[in-house]
Amino acid sequence: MWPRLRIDDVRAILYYLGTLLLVIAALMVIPLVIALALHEWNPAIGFLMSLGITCCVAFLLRLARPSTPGLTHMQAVVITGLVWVAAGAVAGLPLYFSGSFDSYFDALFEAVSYTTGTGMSLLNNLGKLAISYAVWRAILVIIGAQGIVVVAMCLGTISRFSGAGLLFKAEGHADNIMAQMAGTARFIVLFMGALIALGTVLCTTVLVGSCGMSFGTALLHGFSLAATCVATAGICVEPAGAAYYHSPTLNFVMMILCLTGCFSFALYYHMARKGPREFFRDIETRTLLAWIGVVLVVLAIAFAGDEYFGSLDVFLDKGVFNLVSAATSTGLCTFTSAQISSVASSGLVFALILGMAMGGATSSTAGGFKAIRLALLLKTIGSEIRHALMPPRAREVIRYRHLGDQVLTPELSRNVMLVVLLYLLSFVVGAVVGVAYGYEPIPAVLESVSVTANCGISAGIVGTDMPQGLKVCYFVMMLAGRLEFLTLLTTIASVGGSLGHAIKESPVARAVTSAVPGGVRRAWRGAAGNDEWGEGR
Amino acid sequence: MATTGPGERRPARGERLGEQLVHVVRTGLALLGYLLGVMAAIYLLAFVFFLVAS
Repeated sequence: MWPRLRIDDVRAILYYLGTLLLVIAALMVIPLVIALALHEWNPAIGFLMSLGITCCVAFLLRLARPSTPGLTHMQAVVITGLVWVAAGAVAGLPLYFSGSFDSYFDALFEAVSYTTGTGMSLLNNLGKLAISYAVWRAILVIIGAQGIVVVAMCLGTISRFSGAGLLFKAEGHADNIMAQMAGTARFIVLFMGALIALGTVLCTTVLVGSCGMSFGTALLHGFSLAATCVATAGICVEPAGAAYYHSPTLNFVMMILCLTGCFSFALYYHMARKGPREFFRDIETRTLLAWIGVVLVVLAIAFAGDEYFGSLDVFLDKGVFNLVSAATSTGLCTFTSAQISSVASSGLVFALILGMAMGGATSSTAGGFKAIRLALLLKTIGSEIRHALMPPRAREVIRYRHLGDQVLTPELSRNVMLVVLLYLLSFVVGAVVGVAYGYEPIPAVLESVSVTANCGISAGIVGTDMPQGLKVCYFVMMLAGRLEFLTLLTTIASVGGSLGHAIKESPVARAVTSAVPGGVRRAWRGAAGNDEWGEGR
Repeated sequence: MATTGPGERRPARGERLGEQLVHVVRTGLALLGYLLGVMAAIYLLAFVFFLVAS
């Protein structure tokens, strides 16, 4: 039987959803103040209206105060699944009021693309966007990278409730860095804030010194680049993306920031406690570096045979940057979409797909199915092969080093295989849908992997003229990839099941059922296996 | 981090914070060194792989 939401569950979900939306409302004040300070009146009105709507919705939701404090596991999972959609819905309001989008769904797609760290954009007037909107995009990217629940815990909005820990885990934060969840949330926010601040200083310095920008412009670009690199999101102030700057020094700084964002924050804390050498002892770090090495080999072969890009200096400039960007799931690209879809060789595109698929580490800002899962999958395969060669009663304990010594249990193996399988399935489904809409297979596969792994490198399929069905498909895939599938699937199952039951139990459905003759009803039940959907009636 | 043994003076709060700060900075510098090393290795391998592949 599928677990159903009861009225108390619905009230708790709505109440905490409203509480979390208040965090988004609070963050809207920052671009509003910037818009007012810079005399950007139209954006200011847009932010003010969005703030008003968000506050109204949040306070209305908070009227459904639950009778009992705390959260159950199911409530926490459903809240987490819904808050990413709800947060995208309200975060998209200022973007919609900017007038840059044809429909509200496009603005919602854009906002969810930022919060999930994908960074794909439907905007075609990016260069003319007001500064307050650029800041809002960066803020959304930062919130998404840390997690909405983490930001809410850090601001103290939900940390005092007994179910906050369940929300934290449901958002996909596997490693509890400190004994208290609130402490962990604070560490993540402070550490990422420090990295972004440091990155902003470095990028601004390079932009002023090497690219000749004025300080104000360089600060905006520097902040945006630092945020997008540390959050591994891949948004850019300029339509040309990272290629706009033509600065190898800036590219190097960005690559370091991307690498910092894609390794585990829990590992950094572990390094501080147990010593820096833990970095290379960790199985996840080793797997990630080995993966980058494999992709580098494929990319080198592809570049060497490419007619258009086949020179060493282009490979060391564009190749290495795009490799690091793809492998860390950042998605900043020095190739244009047209170059990827028409000029680049299939080997080069395949290398990018390979780089994007795995993503970074757990407890990082990167997407993909994560390096630790690949490592554990390989360990499971190795163990199964050894098991086949051992005596039947022999048992093997599989150990690995990740934030200390760990043991690979059968439950963990099953979970790892399930999540990896769901990612691979999503890659295939997205590609099939893309091909069905008439796109070429290789760009369709690249786009599908990029969207599911929340990377953002595009072959030009994502755009304003994209078919509506494909837009919805990519929208779901972005969310599913960010929440690592299970949270979203559980939310859909519990909400869908409860709605189905509510419809079945509604007076209209009862009237229709009673109008059907008893013999027909009995015959239907018999055909359905004589079981009322396993509800034990 | 050093612990206080029997008869030893417990460090003042400022000293502990200073010690922690030094520890954090040292770990940060080590991390930066590792990341620079990773980047250097990527460039070196890229150079070698490209030469071999072409």
